[in-house]
Amino acid sequence: MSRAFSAAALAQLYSPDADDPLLLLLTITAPNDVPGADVLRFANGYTTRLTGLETDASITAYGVVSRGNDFIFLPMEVTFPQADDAAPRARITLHDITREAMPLVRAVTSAPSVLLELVLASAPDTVEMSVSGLSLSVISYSRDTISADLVADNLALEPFPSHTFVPANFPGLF
Amino acid sequence: MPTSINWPPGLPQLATVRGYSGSGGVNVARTPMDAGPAKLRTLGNRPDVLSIGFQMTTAQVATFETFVKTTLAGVRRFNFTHPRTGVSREVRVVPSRDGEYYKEEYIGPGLWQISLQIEVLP
Repeated sequence: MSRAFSAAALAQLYSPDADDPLLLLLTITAPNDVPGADVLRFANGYTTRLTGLETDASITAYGVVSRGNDFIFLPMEVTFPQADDAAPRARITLHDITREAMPLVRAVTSAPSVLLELVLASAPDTVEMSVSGLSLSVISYSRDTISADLVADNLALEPFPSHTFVPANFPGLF
Repeated sequence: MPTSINWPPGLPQLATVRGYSGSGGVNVARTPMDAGPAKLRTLGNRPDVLSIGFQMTTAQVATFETFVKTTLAGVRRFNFTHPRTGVSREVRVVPSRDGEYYKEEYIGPGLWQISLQIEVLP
């Protein structure tokens, strides 16, 4: 499946001296059953100081402001879903040194939903690529990192019709 | 929000020439190729690291120690006048790998040389 990148993004991807990085924006939406459920927004790079989030006692916050939302800089590694017929599956590792995401991970009882977006640092309001409909599963964490699978339900792989006339489901027929 | 923590007024405001050095640059990813020039990708601004030193009295060293250990808790940023530009910037103390924040050397009775590394936040 092709992606419709802008000319500026393609130029950055192919340039040997790329001065306008593509940044990954990660939006994690907590399930409704988590008390104080909120949306966590992270970026794998930074363009500015997020001074609105800083206090004297807090860490210094860097990140990206995209469409009015603050995405906090958090180093991460993402393996993107393959463009094939299998159910999309990616892997993400957050280097959560400052424990922004850890409370959510400990509180969830069902899978948080995830949105991945790529933007150019010079135009953070313009989304170059978006992968939605993902959810976090197989979450593991250590002192410094959180790793999880990013999975999407592939309805094409679900059985249809949902019920088959077999003895297990309809014993009266047999 | 800019920090309200300032370099203590009771400490020397100017670093000594002895031991001063600075560095600057840009955070980039440099990927060598099998042949030809390496590829470069900008990642963002990089903190400039300065090595600075101060001559302090014994009482000033105690003030400095309290500032680093209690006021900053080792992690907070504070306002500091850049030795070269003379402009106030937000900086942090850079610890060594084992959490050493500064070195002190004996100069003479009641006088100490304190050296540390700071990073000027972009």
